[in-house]
Amino acid sequence: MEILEKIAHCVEFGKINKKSPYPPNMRNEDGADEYVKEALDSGIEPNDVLKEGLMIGMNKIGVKFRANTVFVPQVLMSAKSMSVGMAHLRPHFISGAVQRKGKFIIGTIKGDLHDIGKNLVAMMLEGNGYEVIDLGVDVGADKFLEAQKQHPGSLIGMSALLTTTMTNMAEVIVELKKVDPTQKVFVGGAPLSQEFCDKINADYYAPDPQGVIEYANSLLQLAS
Amino acid sequence: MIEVAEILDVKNITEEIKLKVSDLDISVADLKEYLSPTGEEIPQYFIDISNEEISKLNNFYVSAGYTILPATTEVDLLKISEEYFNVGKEIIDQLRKAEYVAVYAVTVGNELENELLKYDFQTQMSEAYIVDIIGNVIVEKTALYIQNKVAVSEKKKSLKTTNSLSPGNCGWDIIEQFKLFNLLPDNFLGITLNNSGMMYPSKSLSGMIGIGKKARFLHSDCKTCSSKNCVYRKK
Repeated sequence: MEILEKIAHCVEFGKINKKSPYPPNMRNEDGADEYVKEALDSGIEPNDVLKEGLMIGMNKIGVKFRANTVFVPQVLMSAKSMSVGMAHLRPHFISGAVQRKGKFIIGTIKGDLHDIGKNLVAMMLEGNGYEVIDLGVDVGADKFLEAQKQHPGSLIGMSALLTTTMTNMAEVIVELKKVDPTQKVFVGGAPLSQEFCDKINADYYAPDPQGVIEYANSLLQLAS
Repeated sequence: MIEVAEILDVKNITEEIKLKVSDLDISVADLKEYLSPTGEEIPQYFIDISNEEISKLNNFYVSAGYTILPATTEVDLLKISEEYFNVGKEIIDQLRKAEYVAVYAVTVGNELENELLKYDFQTQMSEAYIVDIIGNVIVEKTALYIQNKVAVSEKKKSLKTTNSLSPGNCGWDIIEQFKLFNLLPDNFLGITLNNSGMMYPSKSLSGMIGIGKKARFLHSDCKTCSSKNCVYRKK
């Protein structure tokens, strides 16, 4: 197996480093930590380590999560493997040798404090090469507008877990699109549906994190 | 036959209870439905974090309380103390034979809530996720304690109870949380509601348990809920 494939494999199966006992069938083997370091030391471009290694693994776990063949703990182990690998790439982000795909502003809508779903989406976006600007919970139009102003060209996502708070999304979307009619807005959360997404003029309803990533990637492809 | 109204003393029966988390006997097994809904192997790492966090949280206290009030149904609405509840078809069907309801709330309180929020998801995602689940299990098991307490107490009076039914579930809009709290004493257990009907502390739970001679307990679970993509759904 090539080293980039090994990195992808470690991320997909949540093998953080040699010390980590998980998954049991990879016990005592190197993990993402060791392989990313080895790849960079051997002269592989940091951008390739990210795109051909780490992101491939994260994409695979996202697909499995959507298919309900893995659950949150496995995704978190993958994310942890991803983050230890990303730590080696940090200097290359700063130097500009590795470029992020784009920026994604995310927040839980005003009145709502639920953030586990939003955090999972943020984590998987980061793992797929996006810079995430996380506005936290209970986020109103003013904060979304301020972030939109500070990070022009960003994609924006908002989540809600309550039927009473999801209606607040409509007002925020109106305001965001007033500033930039081309602004793409993603919505998600347990009580939402495609029908609701259409009603409030959001651009994409994501029932799972992988859907957010795939739609964001498709927008990037269109733009290029 | 003795009438229900004679059996129950409906005046001044609000009861408040404080429980130590350790009394709820929480174990990793209680978390499994969240961590591994289909029985997939849970990484040992998560089991270790779970055991460690449960052990720390066992020293905290939770609060719970309830009051019993007469209830009737009018077509598809539930009427309690002049307040009408639109609880949805599934719940109204369960409450049609109830003559009283135990209106309850449980909360982890501010001190335990702060403890549950101590981890930053971005840097300690596994720990943050686990304590969030433990928080859910704590309120669920406290609500179950109340449910059992009400059931045992009413059984002595030859009355039966329904399962626990909460705003935000099974088509009962969460906005009706305001009406539910109107039935409880002011500042009950220190729980407050925001404009959306969300409770603070956030790890709190409210609901009703139907009581009556012909009330029936029906198991309800995630399978009957319409929120198919809920992150908390037990698949």
